[in-house]
Amino acid sequence: MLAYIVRRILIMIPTLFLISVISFALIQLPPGDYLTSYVAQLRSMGDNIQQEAIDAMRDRYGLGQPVYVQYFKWIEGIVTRGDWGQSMEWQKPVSELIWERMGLTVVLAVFSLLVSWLIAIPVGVYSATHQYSMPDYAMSILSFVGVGVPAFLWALIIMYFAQTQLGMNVGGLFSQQYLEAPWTWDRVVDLLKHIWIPGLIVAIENTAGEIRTTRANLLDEINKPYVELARAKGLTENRLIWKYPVRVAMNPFFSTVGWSLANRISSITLMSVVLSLQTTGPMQLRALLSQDMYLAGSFLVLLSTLTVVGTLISDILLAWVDPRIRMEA
Amino acid sequence: MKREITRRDFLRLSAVTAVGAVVAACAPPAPTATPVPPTKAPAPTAVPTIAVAPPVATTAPQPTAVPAAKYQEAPMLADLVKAGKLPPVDQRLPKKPWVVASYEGNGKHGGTWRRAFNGVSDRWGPTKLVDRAWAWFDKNLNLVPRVLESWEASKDGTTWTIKLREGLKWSDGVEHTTADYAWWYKNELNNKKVTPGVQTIWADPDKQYAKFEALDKYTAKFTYKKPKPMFIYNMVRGGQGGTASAGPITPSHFMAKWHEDTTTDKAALEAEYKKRGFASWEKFYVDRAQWWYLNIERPHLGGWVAKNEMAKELFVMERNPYFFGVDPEGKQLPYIDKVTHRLFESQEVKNLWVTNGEIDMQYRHMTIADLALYKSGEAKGDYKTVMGIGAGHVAMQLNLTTKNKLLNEFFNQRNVRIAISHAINRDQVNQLVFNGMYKPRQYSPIPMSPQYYEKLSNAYIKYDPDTANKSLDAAGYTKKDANGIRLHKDGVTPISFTIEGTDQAGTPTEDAALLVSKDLAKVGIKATYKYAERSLYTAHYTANDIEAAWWGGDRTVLPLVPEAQLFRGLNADRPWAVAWGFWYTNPQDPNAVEPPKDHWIRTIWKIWDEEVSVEVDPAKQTAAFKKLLDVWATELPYVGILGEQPTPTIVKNGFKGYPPGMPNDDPTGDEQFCSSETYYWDDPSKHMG
Amino acid sequence: MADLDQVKPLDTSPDIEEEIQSGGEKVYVAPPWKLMWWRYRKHKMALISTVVLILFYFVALFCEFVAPYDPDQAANQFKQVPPTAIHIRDTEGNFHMPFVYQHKRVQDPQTLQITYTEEPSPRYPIEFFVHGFQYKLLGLWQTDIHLFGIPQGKDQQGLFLLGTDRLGRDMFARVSYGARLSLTLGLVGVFLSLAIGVVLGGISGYYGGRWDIVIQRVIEFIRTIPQIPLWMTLSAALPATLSVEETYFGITVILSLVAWTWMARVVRGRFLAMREEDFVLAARLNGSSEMRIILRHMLPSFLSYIIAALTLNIPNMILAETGLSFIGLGLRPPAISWGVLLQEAMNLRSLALSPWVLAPGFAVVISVLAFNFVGDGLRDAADPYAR
Repeated sequence: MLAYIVRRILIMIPTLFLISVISFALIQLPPGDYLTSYVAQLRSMGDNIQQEAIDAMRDRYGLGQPVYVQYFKWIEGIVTRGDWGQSMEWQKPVSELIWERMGLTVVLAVFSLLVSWLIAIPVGVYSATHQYSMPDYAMSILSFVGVGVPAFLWALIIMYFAQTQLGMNVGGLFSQQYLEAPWTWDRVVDLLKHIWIPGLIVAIENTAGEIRTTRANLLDEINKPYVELARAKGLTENRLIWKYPVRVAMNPFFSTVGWSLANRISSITLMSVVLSLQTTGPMQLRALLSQDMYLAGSFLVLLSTLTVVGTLISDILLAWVDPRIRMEA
Repeated sequence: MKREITRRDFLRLSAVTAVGAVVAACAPPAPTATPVPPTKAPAPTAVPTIAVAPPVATTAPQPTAVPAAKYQEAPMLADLVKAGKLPPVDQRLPKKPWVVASYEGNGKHGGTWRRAFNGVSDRWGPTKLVDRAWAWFDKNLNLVPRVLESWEASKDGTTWTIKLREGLKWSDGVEHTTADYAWWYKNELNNKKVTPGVQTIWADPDKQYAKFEALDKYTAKFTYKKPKPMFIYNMVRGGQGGTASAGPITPSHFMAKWHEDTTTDKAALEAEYKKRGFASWEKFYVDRAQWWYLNIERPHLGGWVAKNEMAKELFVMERNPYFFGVDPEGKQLPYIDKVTHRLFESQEVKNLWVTNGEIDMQYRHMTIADLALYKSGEAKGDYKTVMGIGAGHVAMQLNLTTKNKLLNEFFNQRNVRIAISHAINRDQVNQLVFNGMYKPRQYSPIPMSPQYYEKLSNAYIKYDPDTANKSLDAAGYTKKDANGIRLHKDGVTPISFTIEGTDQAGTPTEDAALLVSKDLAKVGIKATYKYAERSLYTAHYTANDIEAAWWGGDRTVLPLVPEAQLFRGLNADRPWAVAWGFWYTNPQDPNAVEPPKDHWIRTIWKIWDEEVSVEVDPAKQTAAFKKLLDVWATELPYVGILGEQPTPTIVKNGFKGYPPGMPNDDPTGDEQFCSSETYYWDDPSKHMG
Repeated sequence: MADLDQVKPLDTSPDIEEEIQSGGEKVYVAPPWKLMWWRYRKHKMALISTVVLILFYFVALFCEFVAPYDPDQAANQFKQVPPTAIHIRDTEGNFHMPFVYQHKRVQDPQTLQITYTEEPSPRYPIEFFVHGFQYKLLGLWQTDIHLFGIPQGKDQQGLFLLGTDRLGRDMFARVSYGARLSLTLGLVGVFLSLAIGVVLGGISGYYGGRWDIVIQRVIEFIRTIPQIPLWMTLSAALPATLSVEETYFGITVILSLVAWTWMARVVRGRFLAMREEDFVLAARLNGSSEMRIILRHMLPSFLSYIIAALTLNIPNMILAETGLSFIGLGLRPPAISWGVLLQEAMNLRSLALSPWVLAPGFAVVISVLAFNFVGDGLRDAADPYAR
């Protein structure tokens, strides 16, 4: 088991390395650099920044150096000092900007994952055990609608109605008084008050697919002989379903937790841009547009790492449950 | 009480020649037709008065001090004073504080003012609340002392003597004296590491700095070799950091330790800048240590000090206990205790905050496109949409120095430019895109400006496609291709150019650009509007690779303050004369092109260099500037479309001090024009959040 | 995101047992395509969706003909008109052919909000095949005939099925034109990803071994990076100087660069399963060449799967284009796509004052749903011999 885990972690290293190279390369693609867009933006806002100040900044961020030098300096900083470079737009170290946002993204992703499992499993089981019933049809149509309407479309409409009809404030994840407050219980409560709407919006988009997966997997499973055998032995229908078939049907969920996380992060990114949530999304979009390369690159690397780690955890769990996987890999 | 200042009021006022006393509070503005000899301060009246000085007054009169015993402490600070942590208010204020009245009566202490910002690059939003400097504008756009007690210029405009307020203190309680200015002069302005180039605003036309002398603790003298009539304008805003804008108002006692030449502990300085990730001390100094919102310990003179760094969700500012201003009743300003800026990353969320009543007072980031939305939310959000007058224009720039030979020939014909102007249906653009709220006009100073010049603002603005077609025919562009597009003189190339702009899809400015290109198509000119990402746009104009641009024009309230760069073709981001502008600034620039010998742009430059920029008398200066504008009215270098835009400011009910009809322009501080320290809540207890 | 590996067919048709019972022998002699069709037509939603999609693609192909107005024609008198009500009965209770009433426009001087009320007269009858703006049908024939419209009183009154936008442009025309870019982008993107997916997935599945490992690692790697942030980064790198056509192509390529991984997995899975099938073994023993085995035997037998997978991937493409354009990284005006229209519409002032400009959102939802149902039906029908 330990050998398996070590092997999996070793595989992660080249993957992460590749991700960092590709992220950095992608961010270098657009013409110009941060300073050209920065200067343009300042001028449009009536700020006549001096050429000397621009030169000083170019020097400071090492923008005049070859790309590979910039890359290795960046990586060296990350690996040796946990220094993710400077955000040029925010004039702060990247590491001071990203962690809370990463945290909130993870919280939101996990929250929506749990919500959609909580919905998908019972609903899927019901659908499978009541195949071709009216609720089953209704469920499938609803789940298709969920797939069809992406979160970013919902988000603004929900935000608008929540505000105008229900008097709720949906923009942001905290009330103003908790924005810069230290983490206290009250702040957590405030977060919970705000997070459930965006969490639900993301969950709606992704639950649909999971309901269908549960239903299909379970349908496969309940036709198997062992279920028949159990039924013949006189087990109650409820115990019969929940005892084993459901658990087997859930396996693919846990094995693809990493990719599910990746999907959630995608939905959250777009939705957060609309709702101005303090997740990675809006800051990454801005960083991309203003070519704030270390910030944008760090986000891409970290988000990808998240799914790599998610996959790793699910693999280890699966291997722990099922010894065959260990041997195979 | 409230009093609206209409545009007409502004019109009547001649900030040009007038040197008159104006009662600051609620009295109607009183323009003075005849110049009053500006020698001494007017006699004190019952109400404390602020005297008005023209930009180049030889002496700025002195404000009347309120008796010291009357100064009132803000309740927020009372406990600190009682506990002995803060000296009492009388000791914190200068001997003769800046006495300023709110535009809507005397206010009360307390409350929080909520605003929104969108990141560190939006630093001017918060900064305009606190960048208090030597002088400021009264409601008639006359320049009056603010940080200074007075100033005096020699008759020829070469020598400027400024007098500081005695006992005026930095926000950390240290006194602000001419020693600060001397330190700045030696260690910033004349330090080649901190200031590598020449800072033109501190130099005369020959790029020579003034000689600086501190006559005593509160008096300083700047002596130039050539006249420097615009000198005092350098410091109407500033003191907040950044080599270009801080200027002399530099807290030397604080900055000394960040500066290699003056620090007593070089090792500590080195450790500090390395820790922050900078390669050298001067980079750290220029990029971070100077800025008030990044280095929050750095003292300044503004009404509020930063409580956290700006790179946060919520940027909080709290009252500066040492602020140097009082109201006519002796209350120390600012009235409002706390200002918060909340980060928004989507326009819609910001708009939701507005309609939800979560923005207390703000003009920045509010757009005319959303006016109907703001209006519809007024009742629920408990606010008013107060309309000001914007300096901005909707305009198009044809690059007269474009590298495209055929287009260059085309654009450089006066009749062609006039034909293009006549081809635009300004009324339609106005009605369709802006609900008819703008005014068709050329880019020019707006009516409230002392430099307003009607002939230019109305030049060739009539929609007249027939005349346009006839002029184009007469100019020799008669042949057309299969799509009805006229051909260049080579007989094969259709007249087609790209208008680059940076406006997002669905914004009114982009809509206007698309409409104008349709109008031009009707007279046989193909103009394609194209969005360019900002950095790309910059790259294009700096390389003179731009054919035409869609970038309005502001700075039309006091065009002389930013040295009328736009009118002289020096703002390359409004690229009507890119390569010529480069040549004027630096003939060695690789993209510089020398304009023809007898070209009219040389007339513009000549008028500026030899008349406007050296003229000490404001009336003569304005007259000279109008000569320059007359060249514009004849040659029409810039295709202006609409202007005099109404600008919406969100003002929460109960928020006082900002009446409608105020100018909105960068040099006049946008919505901080009426001195934000004098804004107040009629019931502060309701706005403590 | 639909993943064929995880999502098993959604059975809405009670199989072909019914067919077996009713048709008896017919089932055993019917060719596969017939079996597929029998099964497919059982899926009612899929059938309806097929009709919807045909309609949508018809609009996309002939949008100039379908649209009654030029989608770029701005008109001050028609700013923010709500969808025009179509009447067949006038105020006196008499029936007519469908017609519309005259609008009266009122602008609130305070809020500047424009509202329209209906005047009881005059009536403008709706006609078919009316003359309107000039265009080239399919880029070939110059004409000015449009499907429908109101030929009279055009300056005073319009027929706006989906209302107009802030510049008085007909939303129906804009949605129709938008269909062309959005719907074809999905199609082109999917074929592009199919090309990559089939080649790489095929190699991976057929040859297995080292090839398989390498390609699987690449797929895993690409899927590790969250799609939207990746797409965002890639689109931000597209030069802004590109023309509409080039941007369109660029976005398509970017979307395909990620989407092929899904296709490749489907293809690989089928290859792996089929490699061991008896008929493949038989062909190999018969001495058929590898190429022949793949093209003649294996490809036809999983073509239906590929078609189903394709159909299920088109909506992802459409949504991705919409999302990217929506955040300003995709297509830009003057291009008209659903994403561009949504970017213009998704703001508070539209939601509050002219919600009908969100119509392109519904077009997106409907087409995505339709593709999902069709894909679902195809997947059910794909293996007519199953169960």
